[in-house]
Amino acid sequence: MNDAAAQEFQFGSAEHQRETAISGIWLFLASEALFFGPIFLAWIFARHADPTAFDAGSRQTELMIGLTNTALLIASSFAYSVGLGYIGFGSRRGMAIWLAIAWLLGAAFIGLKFGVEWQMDFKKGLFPGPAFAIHGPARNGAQLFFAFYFFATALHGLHLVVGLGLVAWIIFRAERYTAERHSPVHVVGLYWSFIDIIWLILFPLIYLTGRAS
Amino acid sequence: MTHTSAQVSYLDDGHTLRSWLLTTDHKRIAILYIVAITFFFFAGGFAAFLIRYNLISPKGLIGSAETYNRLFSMHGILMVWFFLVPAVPVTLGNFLAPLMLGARDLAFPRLNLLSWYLFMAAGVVALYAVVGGGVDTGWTFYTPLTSFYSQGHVVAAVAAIFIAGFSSIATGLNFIVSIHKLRAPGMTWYKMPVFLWSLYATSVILVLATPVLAMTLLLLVFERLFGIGVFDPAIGGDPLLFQHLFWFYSHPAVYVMILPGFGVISEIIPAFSRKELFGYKFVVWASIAIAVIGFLVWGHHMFVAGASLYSALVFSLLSYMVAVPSAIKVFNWIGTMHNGYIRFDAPMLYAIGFIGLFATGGLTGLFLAALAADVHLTQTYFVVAHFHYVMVGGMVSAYFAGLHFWWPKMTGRLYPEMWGRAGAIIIFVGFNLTFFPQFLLGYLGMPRRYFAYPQHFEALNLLSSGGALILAVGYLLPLGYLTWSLFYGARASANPWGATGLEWTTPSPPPTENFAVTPIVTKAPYQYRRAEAVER
Amino acid sequence: MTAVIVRLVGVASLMFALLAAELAATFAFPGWGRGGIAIVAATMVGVAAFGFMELRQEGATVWLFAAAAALWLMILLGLGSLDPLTRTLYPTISITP
Repeated sequence: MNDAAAQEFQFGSAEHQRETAISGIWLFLASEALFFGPIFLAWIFARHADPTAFDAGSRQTELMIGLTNTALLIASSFAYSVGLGYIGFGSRRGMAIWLAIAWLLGAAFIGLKFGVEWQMDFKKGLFPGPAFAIHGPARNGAQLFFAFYFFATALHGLHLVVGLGLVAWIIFRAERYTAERHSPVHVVGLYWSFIDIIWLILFPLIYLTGRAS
Repeated sequence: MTHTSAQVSYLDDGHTLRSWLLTTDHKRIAILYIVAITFFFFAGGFAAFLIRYNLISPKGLIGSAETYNRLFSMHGILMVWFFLVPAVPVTLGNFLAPLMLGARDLAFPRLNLLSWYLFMAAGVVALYAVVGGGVDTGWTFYTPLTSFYSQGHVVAAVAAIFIAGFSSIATGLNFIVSIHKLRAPGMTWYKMPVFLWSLYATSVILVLATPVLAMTLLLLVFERLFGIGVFDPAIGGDPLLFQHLFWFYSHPAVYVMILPGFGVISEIIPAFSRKELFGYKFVVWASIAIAVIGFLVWGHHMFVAGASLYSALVFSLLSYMVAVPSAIKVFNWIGTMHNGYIRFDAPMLYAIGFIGLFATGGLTGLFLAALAADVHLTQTYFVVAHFHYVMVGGMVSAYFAGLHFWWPKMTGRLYPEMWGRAGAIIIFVGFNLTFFPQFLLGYLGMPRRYFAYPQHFEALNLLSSGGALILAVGYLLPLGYLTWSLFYGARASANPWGATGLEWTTPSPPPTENFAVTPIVTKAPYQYRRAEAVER
Repeated sequence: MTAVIVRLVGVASLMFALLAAELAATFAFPGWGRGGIAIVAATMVGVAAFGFMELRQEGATVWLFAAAAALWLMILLGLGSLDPLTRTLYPTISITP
């Protein structure tokens, strides 16, 4: 995008372009929400097939890691919003610092999820298949749970990795943004919070409902 | 790109390959899409031709049931995702949406170009799957056949559809945001042409249904590659879940195919009847209603699949509801023509054909929405005939109607009118000969997807295959004379049909920036006066 | 800027409090059951949408898009689960090695 031009030629003003970008990302997020829809419906189907066995599988997950990760993502959304607040007052430095914090918190989530938690799950033999560790009547339902678990966390993780790339991109381009013109920062922030929201739904589906009585 | 003069036509604004392949001009992207889509239409059509060739004889002429399975799968996949779903939105829609809005481009021009590249990438992957031997799953990819048993290139075919899906989402998103944000001054929602409303309704489906298909296909690939999945009945998973998710997309997707067609017809009928569109608001809200209700009916594809009877009842009732807005549209078009000053040019011939064929396809859909009748008719040629009446008789006719109507605007050339009319009539005759016998075959109990059939179905099948030959001629004809007109056709004026609408106020072909001065809209659309008709 | 940070600290604190409530619903108050978890989780989604994503400040268009996402998810999950929840299941042979 040419910084000299006030806006692209199909828009009446820079504000018009900003509004359009923001509504564009919201519509994209609506689409993303439906993208995760089948995962939620799969959870309903899978759990309904055999609730006891499904919950038995759920209880094998690492609650502490899941809880820590939830806290990390909430903190990360908070940090990003603070960064967005800073650029609104024209402080590129403040924005870059807080976005870097948000990035690190997100990266910590990825590290914990795939570097630690998944490894523990594999070691416990929880990946569905002939070598699945849970035997007895709960075997099938628990496998179904872990099919859901691995798929859902992988997909969410993938979105988070894309988000990390976008946040890094914003930090590298921090020089371009001003108090008046920073819609990319806003757009990426909305996506970042959206990933948080997806996790806020996945967290109870994976870790909590199976443990509730 | 810099634009020095607003009067340079978009076709003359750069002649290099680069100026086409890296363009962000919605009009050029539309042309790129037309080229791509024409290729896929004839590729899918060729497969259909081989299917009809095989069915000439009760024993099957191509000799192998396996080849036949791959042929109809390829036909379905190419036609659905590489022609029908994108056809009108990405070609006519891309070209016309900004012109009708009075805007210079769509809201996100680079996203628009990206969507073309995604589409092409998907096309290459799909062709790889086809050349590599194809798939034998049908276009519906039902599990557990696809997840565990099928031998073909399922992953490649699914990947192609996955990528094409993102192209759809990008297109839909662009249209919705553009319609919200880029309307010319004075163009209130009710001053928008119906074509834009239809594009809006279509885009709602593209944006909200396509992601569901994308995730479903990912779940399928996961299951196929890693052997674990939520559809696997061996561990208590439900194959019907796949069908639910698949049809959550694929039923609304048939409205993606037909809604833009409704829009095209709603533009053409007033223009060739020299009358205002009858019941504008009803037509508009019928489009939106179809887009919404279309999401509530998917279960009617699963009446005999083992879904619960209660849900089948609910889906059956909801399916009847979607017929109401469709019928409203048909009545409104007829109401528009009533007492009109009708001219039978090629676009209008296609449009009139559309009304009849769509009404037939739509009404036979009611048979299939009825629980008891569906048990008899499902999985037979009745279903094949029903959706071809809607998709081919309806949607393809509408596409050709629109292509002829806006051809002078897009290319700056007039097509030869007599050839155009001949093509429209040949297609109408060929289509009915091909598909009407299939209603009878289905009613008599001939199942779909079989490569051989009992002797007593031979006569009707022969009729159908003969019709397919005429249909093929009908489709090749426009390819010939439209290409001819690009070089030798007479130059078109800005408004050769004397039609209303902002797109006709700018030169043919339009300049890169569409409008030298941003238009200001003061009138409702379709303000035709009969007196104009006499001029020409 | 202080006002912004104060507001965001408020949002984040509310989120952590809700996370604690979610845990409480799971372990400390069995009476709340899964319904309690669902209510708390839905509230957290709302707080994130309005607190972090500032849905409140956006125009009608954005509201429309957000509402469409919610409505269509309800269609998918509602009509989608109608079938398994009302289906008659006949016993089948299950293999448990």
